[in-house]
Amino acid sequence: MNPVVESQGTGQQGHQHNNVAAPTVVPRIDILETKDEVQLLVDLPAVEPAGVQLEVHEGELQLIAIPANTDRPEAKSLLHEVKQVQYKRHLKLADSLDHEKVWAEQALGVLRIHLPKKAEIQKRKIEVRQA
Amino acid sequence: MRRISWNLLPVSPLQSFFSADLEQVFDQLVQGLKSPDPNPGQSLRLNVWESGQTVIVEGDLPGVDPENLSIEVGPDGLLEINAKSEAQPLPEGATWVRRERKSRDWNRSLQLPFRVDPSKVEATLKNGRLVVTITKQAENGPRRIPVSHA
Repeated sequence: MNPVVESQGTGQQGHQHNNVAAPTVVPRIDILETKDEVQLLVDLPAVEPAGVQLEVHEGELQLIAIPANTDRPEAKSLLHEVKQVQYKRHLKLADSLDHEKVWAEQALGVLRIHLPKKAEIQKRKIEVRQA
Repeated sequence: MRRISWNLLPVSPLQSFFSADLEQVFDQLVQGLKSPDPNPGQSLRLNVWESGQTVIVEGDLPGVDPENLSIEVGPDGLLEINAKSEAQPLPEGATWVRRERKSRDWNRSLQLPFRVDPSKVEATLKNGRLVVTITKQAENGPRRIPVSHA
């Protein structure tokens, strides 16, 4: 069973929903699973840790991220291809994940979200001793 | 520094990115700011700002380590940026459930419409956003020639 499935914000990655203030972009993610946890890797360029809002509510992971505004009103714009956006993605979490122990870290503009499995779900390696 | 023959270049991404009207307005504004982008990798989107003698170039490079980033600037104002975002290695015993982020190359060549001082270029990469600060080369204005009595 897939430990994480889309609940909102579906669509092509990088797809922008029109909004006059700041278009919403669905960030690209990778999902990997280890013995003890599921990890989400999310591209969030130009986002400071303070700009990340990450919540788990009723089994749903809600991510909203606002990149730092780098408008330079004192300067003349010669080229403007990088637009001011906000990132948003909602994911439904499996019951096998411990929703109370979710944590995240950020490096190089990539957010890594750790979703630990519930203790009873984690496989235990049974040591076999010589009789 | 490597030069690129304009005759062999494909259509500029700038030309396809903007609508015809916007493109026309833009061409008038930037006057010669062209983006040849001859490399097959993904074109890096950029913002370019001018403030006095300083030009600031910004772009988003999520997952790029500074060691995998190359920036070259020539005195003629040709800026080349090449970056690679390495594929995330899997921890031992882990499996991929979904892959949307893949190993990516970004390339961009940008002809700035003025000469620059290559010794006064600085770059920072913070939270996946690249900021390149370039200083224009001081103009060689008319020089007053002193005339001495014979």
